[in-house]
Amino acid sequence: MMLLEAKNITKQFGGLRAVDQVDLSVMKGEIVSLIGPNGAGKTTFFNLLTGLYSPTFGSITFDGKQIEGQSPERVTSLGMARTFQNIRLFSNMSVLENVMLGMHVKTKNGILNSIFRTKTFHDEERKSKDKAIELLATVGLEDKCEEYAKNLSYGEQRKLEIVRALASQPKLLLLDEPAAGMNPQETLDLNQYISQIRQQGITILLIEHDMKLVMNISDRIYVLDHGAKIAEGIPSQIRNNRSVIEAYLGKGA
Amino acid sequence: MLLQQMINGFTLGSAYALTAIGYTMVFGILELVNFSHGAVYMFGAFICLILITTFKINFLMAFLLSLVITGILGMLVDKICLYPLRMKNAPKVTSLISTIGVSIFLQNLVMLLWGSETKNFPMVFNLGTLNIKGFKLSYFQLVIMGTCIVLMIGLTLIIQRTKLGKAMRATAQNMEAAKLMGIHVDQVISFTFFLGAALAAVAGIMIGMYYQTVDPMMGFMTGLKAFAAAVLGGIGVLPGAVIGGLLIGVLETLAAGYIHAGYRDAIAFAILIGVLLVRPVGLLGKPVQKKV
Amino acid sequence: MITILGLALLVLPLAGLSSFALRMFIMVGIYIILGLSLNLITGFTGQLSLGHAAFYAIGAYTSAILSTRYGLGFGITAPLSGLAAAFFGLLLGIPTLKLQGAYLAIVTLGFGEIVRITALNWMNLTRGPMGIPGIPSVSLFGYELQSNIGYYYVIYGLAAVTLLVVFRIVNSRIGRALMAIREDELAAQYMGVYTTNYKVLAFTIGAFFAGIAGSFYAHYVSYIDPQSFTFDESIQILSIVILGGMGSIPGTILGASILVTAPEMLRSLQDYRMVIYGLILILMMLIRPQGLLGGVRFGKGGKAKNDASGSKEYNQAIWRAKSS
Repeated sequence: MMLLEAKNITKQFGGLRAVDQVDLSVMKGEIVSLIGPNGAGKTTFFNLLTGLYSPTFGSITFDGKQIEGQSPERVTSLGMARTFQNIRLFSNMSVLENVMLGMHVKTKNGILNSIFRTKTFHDEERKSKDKAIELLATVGLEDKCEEYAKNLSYGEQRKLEIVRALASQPKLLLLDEPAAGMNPQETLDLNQYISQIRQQGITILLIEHDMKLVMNISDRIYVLDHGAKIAEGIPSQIRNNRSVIEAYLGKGA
Repeated sequence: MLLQQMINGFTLGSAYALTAIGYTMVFGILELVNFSHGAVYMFGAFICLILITTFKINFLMAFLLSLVITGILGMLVDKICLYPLRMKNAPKVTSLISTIGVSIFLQNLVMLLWGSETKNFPMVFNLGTLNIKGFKLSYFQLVIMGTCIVLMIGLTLIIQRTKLGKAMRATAQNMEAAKLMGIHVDQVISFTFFLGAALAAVAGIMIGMYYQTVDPMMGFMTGLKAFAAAVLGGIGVLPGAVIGGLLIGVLETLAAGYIHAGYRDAIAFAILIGVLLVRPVGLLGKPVQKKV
Repeated sequence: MITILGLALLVLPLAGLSSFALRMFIMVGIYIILGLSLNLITGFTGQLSLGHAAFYAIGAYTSAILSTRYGLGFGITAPLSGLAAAFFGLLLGIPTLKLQGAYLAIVTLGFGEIVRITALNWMNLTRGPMGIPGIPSVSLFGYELQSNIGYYYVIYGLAAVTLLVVFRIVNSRIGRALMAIREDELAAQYMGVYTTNYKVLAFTIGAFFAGIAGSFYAHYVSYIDPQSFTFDESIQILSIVILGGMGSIPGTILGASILVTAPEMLRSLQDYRMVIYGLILILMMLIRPQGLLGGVRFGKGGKAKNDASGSKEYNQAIWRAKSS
């Protein structure tokens, strides 16, 4: 079943075409990677999918709904969650609060509930908190609940950001270079963790530069260069694709 | 009548524009609203007055000297009250409060030193007025507008043509990168404060001479309105400060003449708010593309 | 800790304070409400407001007009004043809270000036510079408050309610959304937080409590004029929040206590008073830019330690993040 389908997506910034007529689709349960040299337009493509930018042309269908030009708030509430290339945690809030923010779209407590501390309020807070701690335990951060997010190590921050995204119970998880800055052992752990997430039935779209990770984990791969799609296929096809090699290493390589 | 109001508005607007430059330059580089700027403007006018009356220095010398003194004051404000906060990476709003502290300090220091009452600014040169078909244009108004134009051209030349100007533009674009290119960012910032304060002093002195009075509170409303002018034009954009200053000067004079004098200051702000609702980054400001 | 402080405040007036000291305490109480209400907007939600005195003024004038013209008592004027201020908060908030930084700052500042200048010029409604005298004293349940002791209990009762409401908002799903906006607005949007709505909410609630404070002030001093609601007043409230520490509830209480009493303490210095006040403000920022109790949020999250910015691990993380 098709979960995400982007057709003919184009984004023009002044004279620059950052994304040029890209088609991309993700089936439910897949892990799909988006690769390409720096500046190929991968993050811009993520920004288009998640509503930060609206595409100059093209349409995006997610879970049966047209979403191009919708706000990030709306896209998130429809079941898409993301992480960021440069970690964007809520630094001066606790680890627990970060995860509970991930649940914002799945919770309801309003202003009056909060001020009068109704039973509904306490029930929902307790449930969210338990769920958050449970999620944190999957990455071994449950003991750091009360720590400020900024006090975590770099690797922990990366993990927390993924957990925060998962807290919204997304149908599709977008990961933007999750292995950046990780050592080989950490990358290996990440590989396993991503597989675990997939086993819970969450579909994943991944931007990554670590080829070992990408080749290992992806069902299918899309390659962007200068904003345009230059290849798509299963890992073994991409590994040997002439234009992909040229895009990375230059012509004549 | 309309023309008369326009002329008066442009005169006032020239002073706003000169003062707004200081807000916009500092904001361009530090993203900081420097609330001490209005007090610095007032200080410039006072120093000039004191040099003339107490020290009996001739006007031209006093004028130049007060620009230098006020400029140095601007530099000191940065060095003492803002530089240490930058070093600590403190939140922007603490710098803002610090400049408010400077403003309170300066205003009250001036009151303490020279009294809180309004002082007469001597008529240094009476140039007379030009009467054309019923409306009056004093030559001094021409001097104010002329000075404003000359200083704007000078400033543009400094910023566009000199090495220091290039360093200022680089620092405003990306302070880290400017540092890596060997630009002495701290000197550039000091120079920016010097320039902004000196221009504010020019405005203060000219307004003092125009109304022939100065008082320790004179910088308050002018400061707020010059800030409003900088934002109206698009904060961080130099020509924006000039356009914003002139616009606010003209519009508030017209509003005072045709609507209600008491609402004069309120109208200036109402216009500003109205413009920002339509163009959230001011008239000449460029929208920022969000990046992830 | 809170219990002890609360009890101390409860018995304090019985210890035979001078009426001057009581007046001081009452003013501190008013500024605690003003500070907490601004802290919700600026400290917790991260929206710089330079016009908070406008809501204080709207509350004060609403009460003054309703009580002198229509003979309404504090029990009715106070909530109406809060609602009037909240209404203006909403009115200002909806179109302007999409603005950022300096733009929002100047709009809130401009709004504050517009309110003050309107109060100064709308003679029929506000009597302009002459002000509104003869505002009746607070009467509750048929009892008219005669002494400062009565006012003392009323204002600290109101302050306690404000504190409770702000505390509960901050420590809830709503509060988390507000703080997320402060920390990283874009990331907050990606959590599904409709940031403009939440900013307007913070603004409206903050304005409501500032309006209540204004109402109390009008009834307490019995005379108001536009002079009490200048830009300096907005700055005073902001200074309280920042001195205490943005996003810190106990900080605001401490900030209000210091900044309201400081000018009185400095009174013996006479003319030097405001010069020194300015210096104190600068020095405070230089010495403790995060505020006296910055990072002490007061509540569940308050346990979190906020000391890692110098740690080796943190620096390495930063270095890695920058070099990647």
